Amino acid sequence: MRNEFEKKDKVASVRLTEEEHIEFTEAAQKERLTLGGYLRECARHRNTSLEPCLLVHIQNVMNAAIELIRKYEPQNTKTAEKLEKEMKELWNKLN
Amino acid sequence: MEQTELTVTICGKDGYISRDDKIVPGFDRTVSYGCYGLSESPDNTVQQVTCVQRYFGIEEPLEMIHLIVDYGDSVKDDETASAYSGLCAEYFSRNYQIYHCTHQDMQSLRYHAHLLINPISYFDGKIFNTSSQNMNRFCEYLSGLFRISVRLL
Repeated sequence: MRNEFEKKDKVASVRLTEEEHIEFTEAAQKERLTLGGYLRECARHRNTSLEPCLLVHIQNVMNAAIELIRKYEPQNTKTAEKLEKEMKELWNKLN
Repeated sequence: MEQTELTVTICGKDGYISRDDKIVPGFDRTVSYGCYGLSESPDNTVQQVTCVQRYFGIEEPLEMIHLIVDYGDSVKDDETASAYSGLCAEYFSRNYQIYHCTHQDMQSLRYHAHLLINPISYFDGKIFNTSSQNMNRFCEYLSGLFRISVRLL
């Protein structure tokens, strides 16, 4: 979703096979998007396989790992810092 | 007079939360904090929020939404307060990055939680706003969860 007030007044139609139409419609429904919205998102982010929901998931795993390091190896600050840095680089790849 | 209900307040952007200081302005003591989809490091938090917003085409960064849930007299100890805050955050974490922090007011000894929410959903880019409909839904969730009346201030 780009902007809720943004006008989408241009139309582009696309020809699909019956199978593609079913496949894309189902994929869009899974992500709670319209078919058009789904195709727009795919086109916009075709150069990256990363998605925010995936990064959020990885971030949560990383947070748990960092918490364990701080709890059981408080002297090992370098590993926690390294994980933070790696995660930062991953987030940068999103845009 | 005893307060036997929870209250939810929508705050402006001036609500700053210190993560490192144990005592924060206003005589609050930091009890605990946690985050979902965000790093604990404040510098990275900003980047992660901005990345999600940009991914969904928001070029001008949107402010985080800041809510305060005051537990009134319903909470008496650190553990319960922290657990309550985790449950408050869980409501938003299914769709939004969130940072939550539990404080105790050192004058009244009452507990409250700060919730900082990225208004852009990491799931589908939808914008969350603090409309009365959305906030009443959140209050209903809290009310059902804690079996206590919840008021929106």
